[in-house]
Amino acid sequence: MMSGNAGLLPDLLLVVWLLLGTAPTWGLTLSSSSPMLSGPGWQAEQIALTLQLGTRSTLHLTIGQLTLPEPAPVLVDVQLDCPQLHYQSHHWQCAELRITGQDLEAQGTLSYQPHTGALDVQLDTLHWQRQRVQVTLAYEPEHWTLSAELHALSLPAAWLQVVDLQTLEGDFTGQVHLHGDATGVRRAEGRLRARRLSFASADGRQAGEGLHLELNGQWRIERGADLVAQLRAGELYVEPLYWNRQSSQSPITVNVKGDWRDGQLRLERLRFDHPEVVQIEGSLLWQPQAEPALRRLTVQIPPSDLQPVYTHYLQPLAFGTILEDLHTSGRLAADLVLEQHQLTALNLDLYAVDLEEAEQRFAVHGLFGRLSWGAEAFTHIGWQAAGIHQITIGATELPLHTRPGQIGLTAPARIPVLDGSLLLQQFVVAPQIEVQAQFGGRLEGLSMAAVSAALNWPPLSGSLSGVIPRVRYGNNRLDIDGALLVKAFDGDITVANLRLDRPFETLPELTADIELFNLDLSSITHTFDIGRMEGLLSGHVRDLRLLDWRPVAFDAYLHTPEADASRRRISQRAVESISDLGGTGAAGALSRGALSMFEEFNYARLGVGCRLQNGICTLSGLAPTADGRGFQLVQGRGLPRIDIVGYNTQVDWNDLLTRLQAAMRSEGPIVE
Amino acid sequence: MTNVFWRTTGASLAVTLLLAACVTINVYFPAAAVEQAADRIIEDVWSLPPSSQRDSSSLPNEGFNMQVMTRGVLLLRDAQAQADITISSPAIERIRQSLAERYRQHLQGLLDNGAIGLTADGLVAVRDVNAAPLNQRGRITQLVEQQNRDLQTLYREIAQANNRPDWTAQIQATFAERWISHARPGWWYQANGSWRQK
Repeated sequence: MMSGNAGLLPDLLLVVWLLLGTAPTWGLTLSSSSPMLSGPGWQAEQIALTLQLGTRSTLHLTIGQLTLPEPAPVLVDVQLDCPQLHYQSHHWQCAELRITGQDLEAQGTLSYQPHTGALDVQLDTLHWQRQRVQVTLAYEPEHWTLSAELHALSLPAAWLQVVDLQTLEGDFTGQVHLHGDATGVRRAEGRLRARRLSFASADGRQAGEGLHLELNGQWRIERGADLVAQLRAGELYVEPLYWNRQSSQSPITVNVKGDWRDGQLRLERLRFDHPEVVQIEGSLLWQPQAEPALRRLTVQIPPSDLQPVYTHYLQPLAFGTILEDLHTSGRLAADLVLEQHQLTALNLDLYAVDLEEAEQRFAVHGLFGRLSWGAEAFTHIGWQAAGIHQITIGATELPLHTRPGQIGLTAPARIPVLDGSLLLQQFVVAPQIEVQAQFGGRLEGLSMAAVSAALNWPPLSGSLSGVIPRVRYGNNRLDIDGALLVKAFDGDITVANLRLDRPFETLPELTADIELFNLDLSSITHTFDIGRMEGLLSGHVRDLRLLDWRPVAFDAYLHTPEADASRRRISQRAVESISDLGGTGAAGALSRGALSMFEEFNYARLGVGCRLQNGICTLSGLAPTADGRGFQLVQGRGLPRIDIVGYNTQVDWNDLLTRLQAAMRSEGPIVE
Repeated sequence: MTNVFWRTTGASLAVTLLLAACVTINVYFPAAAVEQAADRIIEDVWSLPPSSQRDSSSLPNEGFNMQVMTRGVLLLRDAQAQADITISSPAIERIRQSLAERYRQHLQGLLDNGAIGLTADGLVAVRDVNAAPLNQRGRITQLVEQQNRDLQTLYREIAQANNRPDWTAQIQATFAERWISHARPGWWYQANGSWRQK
């Protein structure tokens, strides 16, 4: 902005000075014309100079077209008039200098000392494109000063192209002083105030509205620039960050010291003060012609409250991730280096940090320690308590070893999970392109009572343990290699091919294959309260698919194992429960009939299958009945012999669940 | 609701069709049924007043034939609820909730001010970031991504719930037309590759 106005007048006056100073001889009237004169950045065409000397001397200069450095427009038909030119004590004086041109009008004074070459120009009112600027020039060959004062200067439309913006509005008030010598500008200082500044880049990635900015700065050729910029009011968006200031709040301040040299912006000091949020120190190396332009950025954040830092700076970076909506507290400090858009070094210190996901999907309390990235380092990170969904995780401290490109565990760590623990033997994070993490370990001593309570399942007895050779996370997917071994109901359950897709999106999908070996039916039936059964149970639940933690598909078959030497008995109520689930329509028949005197029956084998697909469970049993209309669920033994046969091969899964729940709630059949 | 119709007349129809199914099985894409299903979801997600129920006699036959194929052979107690295209599965329910919540919290405003618009293929897209208030710009890209992921899942899951994964594209196309048709005045939508304002 300033260079446009500042460049105009000195160049123009330099033309005058050159002509005056270099004219070798001049008589009473001198007329000179030249088709073109030019210098660095400017060019004047069709120049005509008329100088009349006498008791009333006059000077008249016209320039047909004056081209100044961009973004200043080309000036057409510039006229410089000096109706009263006096020569007094070695000075040429012009008390009523007048300059006009298209969109240009200025009035002021001029004084010229031919033997020293000193030129003083003062333009009290310079109107250019309906803007008013005050300009003074004090020129000597060894030293010159050019000052300009702006009064509510609006931004000319020409600037839109220069800075590549879709809209730009606002006005500037302030002063700029340039000091130089024959070699050019040596020193500059100024202060500018922008008011009602609004702008928007065409792609919408940067924008400001109603901004009130203040810029104070100075520059020396040998020392570079010191600049202080303040955001006093308005809204500013620089993707993905957003700032909003009221004039009643203390301003956001950026204080930089640096230089522009060889196509590089080098800020050796970058101080950013967002009152009540964060104070950042850093440095910057920016090279617009390079790809990427950001060559190096260092940032140091002293211990600061996490909550405002999260809201203003971390949350916008986390949009679209699990971290986008957290309640935070505690403090953090950080030191980081970004080189060519890559995080090459990080030291993040956490002090009593609490993170709680808004939808209660996870929480960490009392997070502490240091996370390092980049150079080799040994650090610790830990927490007082944590939880994922309803699974509670106890106090833990993890000893970490950072090497270039990855973070790992230096020694096995025991993480309390529910009433047991996860012994973490190996853990590696390599967040190069996408977060890739893997760990291996062992689950120990978890009671199924605690697990089932945490998962809102009916209370189960037994314990959960297992070896987890490798868990990998990456590409929005969690894979568990190897098999989880669950000790429950006095038998074994293995969970293999466990995979969790899109864990943090709307529809997390879990797939697994489950095998069951020799579970004790009496403890299962005790748990589910559907009547009493004794015997063993084996089987599988293959191709299990849970969407949003609800089963949508599986292929299950549970049966009496081949070698079951245990006592196999089934209570009357269990018979009714199974009959009801299988849709035999026998409900109530037992309690009313002759068999009601028997409380228990022996059985040879039982088998029940359910293939769930699209909300429909296709039932099967041990074998189809002889007539092919039903399937045998329980094959009786001894006397009284009772066989249970199912006829409904298709049941609605939700109905089945409802009926199962009803069976568990009911008091059991009434034996009359 | 469509269910009312089905409860009253659907059972007997279903039985008749079940028998008929042994003779003729013509499987068309049940355009009208899917359109109604889409309307129900859209009205729910955008919290619009339910549109007036179509005259039951205008329901085209292809909807029934589809059911005969996919469900008719099943021995279902709830046959009357199954003769319609189903949009009730846990996955669809969850997606509907998520869509409604995102619309209420963010997308309504962005559609109103024209920052985003409806695409011709049943998704949403960024139209003009500069139309959004500054404090909402940071998450527009992610919101559009999340929304489109949910929408793709919705179309896939509806096809899945009806046992016809091959219908996903047609379901998506039907929804595309219905979203635009329900759009409020002033909202932007894509047609023939350019943005238009409703």
